Amino acid sequence: MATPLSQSIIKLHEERHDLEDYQSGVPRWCTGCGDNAILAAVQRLCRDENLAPEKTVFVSGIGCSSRFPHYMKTYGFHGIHGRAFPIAEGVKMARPDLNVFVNTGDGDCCSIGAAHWIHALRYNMNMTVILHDNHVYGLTKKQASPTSPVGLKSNTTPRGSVLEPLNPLTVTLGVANVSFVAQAVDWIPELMYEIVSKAFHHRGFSFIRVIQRCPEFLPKMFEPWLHDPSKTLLLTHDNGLQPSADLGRIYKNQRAHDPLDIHRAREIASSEDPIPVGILYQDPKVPCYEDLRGAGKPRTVEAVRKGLDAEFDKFTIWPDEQGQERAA
Amino acid sequence: MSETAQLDRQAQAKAGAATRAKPAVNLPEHIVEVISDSGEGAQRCGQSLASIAARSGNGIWTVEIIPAEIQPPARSVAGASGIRIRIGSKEVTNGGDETDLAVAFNEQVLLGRVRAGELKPGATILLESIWREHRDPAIVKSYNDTLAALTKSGFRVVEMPLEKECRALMTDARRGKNMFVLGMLCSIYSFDLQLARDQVALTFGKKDRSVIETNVKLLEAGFAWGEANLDFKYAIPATKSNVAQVVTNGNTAIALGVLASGMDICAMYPITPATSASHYLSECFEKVGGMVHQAEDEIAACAFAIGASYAGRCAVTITSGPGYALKQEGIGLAVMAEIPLVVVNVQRGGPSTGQPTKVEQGDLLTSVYGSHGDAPKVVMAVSGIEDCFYSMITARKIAETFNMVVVVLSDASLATAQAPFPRPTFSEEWLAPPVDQSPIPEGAKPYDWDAVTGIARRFSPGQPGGMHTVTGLAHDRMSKVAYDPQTNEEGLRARSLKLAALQKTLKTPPVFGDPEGDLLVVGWGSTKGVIEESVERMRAEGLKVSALHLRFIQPLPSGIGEILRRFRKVIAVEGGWGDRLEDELIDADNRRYTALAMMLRSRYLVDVDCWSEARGQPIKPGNVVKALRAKLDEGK
Amino acid sequence: MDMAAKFQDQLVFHMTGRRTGEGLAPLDSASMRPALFAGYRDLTRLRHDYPLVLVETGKSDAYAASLTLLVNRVLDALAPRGIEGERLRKHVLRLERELRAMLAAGVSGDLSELWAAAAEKLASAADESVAKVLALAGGAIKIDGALVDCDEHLPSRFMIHAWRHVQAQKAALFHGHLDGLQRRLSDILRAAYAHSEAGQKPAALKAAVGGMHADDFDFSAMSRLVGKNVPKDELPASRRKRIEWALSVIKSQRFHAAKLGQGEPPHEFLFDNVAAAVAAYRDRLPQAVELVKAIAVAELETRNGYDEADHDPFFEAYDEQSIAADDLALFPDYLVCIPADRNDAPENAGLMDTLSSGLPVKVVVQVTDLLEEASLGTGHFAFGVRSARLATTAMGLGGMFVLQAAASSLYRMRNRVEGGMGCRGPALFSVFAGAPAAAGDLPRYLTAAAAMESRAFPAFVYDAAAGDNWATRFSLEHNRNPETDWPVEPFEFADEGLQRQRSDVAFTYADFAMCDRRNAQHFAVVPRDRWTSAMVPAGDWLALPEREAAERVPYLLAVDEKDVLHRVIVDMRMMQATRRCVLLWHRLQEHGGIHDSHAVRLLAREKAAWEAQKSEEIDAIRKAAAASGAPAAEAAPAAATAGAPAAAESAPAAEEKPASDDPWIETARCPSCNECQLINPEMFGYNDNKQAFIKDITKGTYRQLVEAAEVCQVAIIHPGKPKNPDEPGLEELMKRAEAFN
Repeated sequence: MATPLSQSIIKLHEERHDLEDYQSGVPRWCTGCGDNAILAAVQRLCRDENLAPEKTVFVSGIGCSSRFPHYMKTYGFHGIHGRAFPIAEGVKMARPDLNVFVNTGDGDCCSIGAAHWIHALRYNMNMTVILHDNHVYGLTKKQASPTSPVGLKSNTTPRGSVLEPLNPLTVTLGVANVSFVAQAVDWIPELMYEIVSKAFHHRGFSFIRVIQRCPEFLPKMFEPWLHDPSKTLLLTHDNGLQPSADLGRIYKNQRAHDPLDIHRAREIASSEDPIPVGILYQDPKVPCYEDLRGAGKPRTVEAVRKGLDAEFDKFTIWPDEQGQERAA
Repeated sequence: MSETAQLDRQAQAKAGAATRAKPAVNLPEHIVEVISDSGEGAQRCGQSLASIAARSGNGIWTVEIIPAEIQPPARSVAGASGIRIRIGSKEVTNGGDETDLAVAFNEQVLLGRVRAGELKPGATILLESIWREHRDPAIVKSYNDTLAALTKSGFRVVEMPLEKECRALMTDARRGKNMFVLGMLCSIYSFDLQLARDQVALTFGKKDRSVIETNVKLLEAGFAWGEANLDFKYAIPATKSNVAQVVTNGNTAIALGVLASGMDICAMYPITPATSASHYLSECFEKVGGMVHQAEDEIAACAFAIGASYAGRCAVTITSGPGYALKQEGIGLAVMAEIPLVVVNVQRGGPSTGQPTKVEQGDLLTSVYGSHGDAPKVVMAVSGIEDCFYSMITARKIAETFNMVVVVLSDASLATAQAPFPRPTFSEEWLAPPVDQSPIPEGAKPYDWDAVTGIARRFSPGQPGGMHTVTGLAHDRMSKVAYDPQTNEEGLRARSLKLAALQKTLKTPPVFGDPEGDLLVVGWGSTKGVIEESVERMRAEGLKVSALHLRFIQPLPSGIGEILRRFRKVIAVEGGWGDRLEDELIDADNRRYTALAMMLRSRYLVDVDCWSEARGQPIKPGNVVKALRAKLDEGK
Repeated sequence: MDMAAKFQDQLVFHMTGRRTGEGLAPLDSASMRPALFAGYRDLTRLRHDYPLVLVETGKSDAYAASLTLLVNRVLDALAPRGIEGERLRKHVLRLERELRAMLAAGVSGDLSELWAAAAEKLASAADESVAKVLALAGGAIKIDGALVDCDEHLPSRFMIHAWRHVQAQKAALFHGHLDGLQRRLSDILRAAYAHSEAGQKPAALKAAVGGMHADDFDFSAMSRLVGKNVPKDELPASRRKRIEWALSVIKSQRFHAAKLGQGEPPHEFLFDNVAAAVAAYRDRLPQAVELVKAIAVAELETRNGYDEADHDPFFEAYDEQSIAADDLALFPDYLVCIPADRNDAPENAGLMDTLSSGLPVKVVVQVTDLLEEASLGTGHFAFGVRSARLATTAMGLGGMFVLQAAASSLYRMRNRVEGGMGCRGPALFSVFAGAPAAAGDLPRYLTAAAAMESRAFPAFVYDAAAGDNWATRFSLEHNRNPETDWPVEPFEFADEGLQRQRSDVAFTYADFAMCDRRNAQHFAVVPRDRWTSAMVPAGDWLALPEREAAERVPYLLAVDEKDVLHRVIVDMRMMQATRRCVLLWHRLQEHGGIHDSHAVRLLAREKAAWEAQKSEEIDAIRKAAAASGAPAAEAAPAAATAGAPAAAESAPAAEEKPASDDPWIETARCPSCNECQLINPEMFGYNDNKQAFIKDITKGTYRQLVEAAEVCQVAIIHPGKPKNPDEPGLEELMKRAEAFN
């Protein structure tokens, strides 16, 4: 119901935030790390959406990427390795009024937290999830991650990694209830912002895989893509991205893709080269777990009292007089 | 027993009126059990009997007899499914010793109980006689042999034509036996038939009217059969309570406690024997706006609860041993980030998958010391059904007041045991307060540890000005990651001090019996009733034995050391493993004491001995008495 | 008698209203009625919209349901195919007829009661199974409420019921919203208490732990320890005061009935005159202002948005003048249901005043007589000069909702009625209840329907809020054939030879007037043998050119009790009234976009202009073709399609790179990696989107520029040419820079 006086006053005095209101400390990521680009895009989003910092929570696991919440001047939860999803789910279930973001890395999400990842997709709770995928363990100093390419020489694979990498996009697109899957690359900030924004506005579990560079351990990994724009495939659509004219001139390799088309999305998702960038899949109609479970419903003292009494009644042996009274 | 013996009985039955002219024998208490194949409804029969007894004003305690499999093969020794009910004149706090009267639907399930020593020597056995005429000669032989063996061992076996009698009333006689037996037991224990009818109506309340009618008929037939055919009858005098009582098992009480504590999220993953608490909670919680989240695994359940608690709504996660082990990392995080959390561990036999349906008090040390590093948390143990309910309220309050993890230990015996307790009167103050959304004053710090208590005020998301990132990493008062030596110790100190602060608010627990004497028995958790009953029996003999029961084990309340020292000997009685000195290799040098004994010894430097059983069954008072007597005699 | 003589009598009657000679019989309007009414003799047999069930509030989304439809639905659901179904159908339809008869006889009550009574009556005569069938069908109708027929009370009952329905929905929303606010405000107080010193007192701590654990704790010690760092003033006093004030105002509000009946009784919002409603509105205005303020304060407080410096003065100044229509929308609307006998001129004057004030007042005016004599006195024949024109007048006032309808169509217009009751601001509902008793004994349903069909009282809706143009605001959709002067119905009858004849018959204002016995003198019945070809149906007559009309006599078709067809000629005065009616109708039509004269004129002008232009173009092409010798037909399309693409091609591609040798950064591609910042934060800066640009070229060296270009992961830094020719090592640097320029 509209309460116009209050609405107008609230609007009148609404606090506007600038980028600084979301910045906390100097990021201690390596220079050139893709995390910086993600941070910049997310801070921009917060500013543009004027998110109340106190109503916004960033949840992360462990790893380089999971330092993310520390650099946001919002509420944050820097959790334990692999468990960002269930923590974020608990936050959202308890407080659906909060804006919940999850920052997770390829090890955090696709390895130790893989079970939670699959189920988080299935729960489809309304949160924005960024997978910082740099294809390598950084914080523990260069071990192969589930997304490392075959042949990657690391401290645990000195003769090159032998397993095919896991493709986070095809995995997510195979899970029931998946509702939003997108891919961004850290070196196209405009699209990163657009994708993060689209993800934020999607009601449901919005999963963005950001392919990012690790200048410390895999400095050359994406050089070919950086220098050859045709190796990036922009996915465009009225319901997806509409890159600016400037960007369109650089990235001419474009394809119209309807995000509702999951079969096509799966096909595109399996492409490693060119790297698809854009919204692969979006179904706004998938119900959110917190809605299905009635999260945030008001709960009064009276309701609890009544509920408890009703339950006790099932197990109660009344003294004789009271029993008769109750029967009457 | 021969054919003629049975005929004799039939003859007796005809003269029933005469045999029942005998007055009922008054008993202070009796232990009765009903056992059958799984699915024959022995548990329902027993639970109904327990309810009728409770409604009559008797004290009761039920112990479920659960096979480990969902559908064990019929007529197997390991497949016994049923319930044992201890009925007393006064309040009953435990399952007691061996069974006085057993009703068995076949001889195989009975054998399992006999072999386990669960039947009192000379106990009365009522045995379904249909097997005598089975078309498989092997079964007939097995039946006859068992009957003969039992009689020979001194049991008083009465055959009863259960199926035959039921067939007259319903086509699938197998399904009606339990209510027939209920009627018969009501006759044996002189319960009011009308009360029994009401109970049947209540039991089948949700079903069709005709279902209730059929079952009432079965009940009446069983009652009549008992009156006409049995030459014994008992009465256990009862005093009806003048306050309303609720009869539930421990897990239901835990669920009700969660509801009453004002928590609104329970995150869990199915695990025996904890799951039934979540089952019941799922049923009742959502009606008042709460929710049970079945997570993808134990770790997620713990993390989910931590997330909810962090967001301002203290949550609970309910599990059992193996699940508890998985939650340890999450618990460590909650300790480090100082997020309130209630963890219920309904203990079962361990280690590993151990004995899922059986009782053991094996998780004390992992609860107190578990999780890596120094992770101080509160550990409390429930001592009975009523305690299950109130502990949830207390645990929530402590968790939120001290921003700590509170582990509540229950166990498989309490999970399924039923006993009445006074119906709690709801108090608004039990409920968790609403999430604080008020602005944080300028300059306030998220971990502003009090110099004395270590307690810091917590900021919840939504509070303007309180923005910070909680972390499992070492952090300073601003919640900033800090590895410097000083900050690290500052945090460790604060988290540890909170336990001390709580400890200063705990009163010394009362001693059961005299405050000093020859032997003090210390226990925790579900063994309270057994220990106190054992001590009572010994005190009746004039022995100077007392008991001390601990609800809080971490921190231990003050004054316990003084109590221990006022007794000549101290022994911990627990349901778990402790090395036994009679084993050749075990001596004072290498003996692994039971958990509580170990903790008491290290804390108070008192020579606390221990006695324990890990048989998967609730400890019997008789066994405890035996052990205590030995301890008293030791060194004499 | 010859044709001319026959006609003469008729013409005289038409011109003077006098019946001369024997050829014309007086109209006995008690027995004579318009021919189209032939099928409407017994309304109890007619399964029409009425009676209605005014559905009990809260039981259904619909507030009114037609008995016919309810019965149909039950039959669809219950009646099986075959004999069984037919039997059920027969009995239930008989019961439906019985219900109509009961209502016509003046019985009143709820559907369920009347159904039971009717069922009893029908069942007594038949076998037992009938009673069962009827009870079953009655039980299958899930809704209940008063069963009402289209009588003189219908307009007020229906409108009050609609208003209650809308108010109940509004109240539910209001309570939902306010309950939430109250809960959230109380939560602030409760949370503050839990964290306050008071909440850490021993007694409070004791109450909060499980009952059987009360002896486990030393609550004084606990209070001392945990209360150590409790903030002294968890809730600033002014904030607490504000919250408590808002809570008390919200709790004690009297506008919407409190759910548990606490506090003072709620205000009454139903009035029978405008003055009383306005007085009540003024009287309660201070309370309304308090409540609006309290809600606003509550909204702000629950989102931690109350800023004393900003808001205190604002609320200080907020008073009765400040309250806006949007705020008033929170409150129940005032309903003024002016009784039929009181809609006189003074009341109507006050009414216009109130309606134009924009107050949330809904007014129902019941029009009972469209054909009464005007207040100007006898001899001045006009119809509906007073209340009947209220709605069109009100429409002129602008910002409101106006609905005009005959009682017979209220059910069909129920959604519009609901919309009007639910609109913000004032609304006027003008309802014609059917002709008064003085007019004759036709059922009111019929005369009401006739008034609407004949355009004497057309149905229309004007909803000022529905859009910014007439097309969206105004609707005539509920009239029959809104595009024609009169609705035309197919009419079937048997001629002298008992042959079935069929013709289209218009239903005019004169037909409607004929139903009213007070107008009998304006009509004369012409025996069949005197019918002439000079007689023209009244509707057609009006369309004749004046001269032709003068030679014709307008007639109406009528039937007597035996359904024998007659022609009834109409006198001049009645035809003038009829003509006036059609003119007024034209005016409404134009509002509704039908035969809009402005549009027609505009269309003609545009068409002329378009044609002129076209002919010029054609001329030009012809001339050009003649000059070039090329076929004209081919040249035309080519000329039309050239140009646009070429223009797009020729637009120069946007040049990003500056023309000079200045250094520059492709800012849009910067992924914020910090590399350049680390080299020189003075020279390189971040913009609002945290993307790099050259902030101040003078604050750094060319070497730094080149190094930044080299470390930049995405190679978007272009060093250009050095600015300072004295910088050492330039030659080498410029070589290195080449890769990036």
